[in-house]
Amino acid sequence: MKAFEIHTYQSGKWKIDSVFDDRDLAMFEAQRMDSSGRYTSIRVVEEVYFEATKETKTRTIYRGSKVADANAAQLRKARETNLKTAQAPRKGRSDPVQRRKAAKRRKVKKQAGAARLIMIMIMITTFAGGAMYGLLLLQQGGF
Amino acid sequence: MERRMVLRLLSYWRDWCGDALYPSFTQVDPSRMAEIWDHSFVLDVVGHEENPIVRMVGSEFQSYLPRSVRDCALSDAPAGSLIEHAASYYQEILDRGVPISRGGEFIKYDGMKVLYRSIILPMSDDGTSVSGLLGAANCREVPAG
Repeated sequence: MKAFEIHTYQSGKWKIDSVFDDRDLAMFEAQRMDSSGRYTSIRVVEEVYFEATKETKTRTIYRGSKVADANAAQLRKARETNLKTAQAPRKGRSDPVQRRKAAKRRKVKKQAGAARLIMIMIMITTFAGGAMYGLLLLQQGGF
Repeated sequence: MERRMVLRLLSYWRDWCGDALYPSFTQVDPSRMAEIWDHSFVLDVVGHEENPIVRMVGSEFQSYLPRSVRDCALSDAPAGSLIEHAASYYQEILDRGVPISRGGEFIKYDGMKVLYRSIILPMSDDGTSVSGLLGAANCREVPAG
């Protein structure tokens, strides 16, 4: 037994709009809905129920133009990203000078971090010492 | 078969729905859809989920019935009548809560073969739970055999 479900994409999820037992009718309606521009996305899912095994198999037989466009754009973007990431590491690996420079930069960064920490500790110690000395003076002054 | 009628009714149903899950019968104006209303029927399911009551049958639809079925339980509908077939899958609409359209053929009580296309739509009084079903069907007779 076959059923053809029209799905609409609403509020971030797919929702069953209507169910037909006739493929042509479902396709006709889905195309009409798609061209109306009223829906974000439309698709038709064919559902086949196998009586003998009591199994249901589904497959999408129609995707509205917006779904196809969105999928194509996403695929294009993914390909571009893959291409960029594939090219970027090769550059660094093939150039030993660049690699050494990068390692040096990382080392300098580490050293700068340690120096900053020591400076902060000295400042805190000086401030604390000064504050204690000030308190001592105040105490001796009889305030 | 005339398929446009079920799609037109489905289109009306979507308009009635607006942002609600289901529309109400109060939104239906038979005078604005007379050509469809004549082919329609209404099933009352509140308290009759297992055997809905036929509350209304359009004049064209009635012409494919041997007698009036108004206020009759669906199980009492005459065998070999259009309503027996056009409303046979009402339980699926109650289970799934979405409009379903089916077509087929049957041998009418007078021996004529009938090809039909039907649709059943969920309706609600509160917009969230199904309290009734609006159905429609059109058909044509062809010589049996």
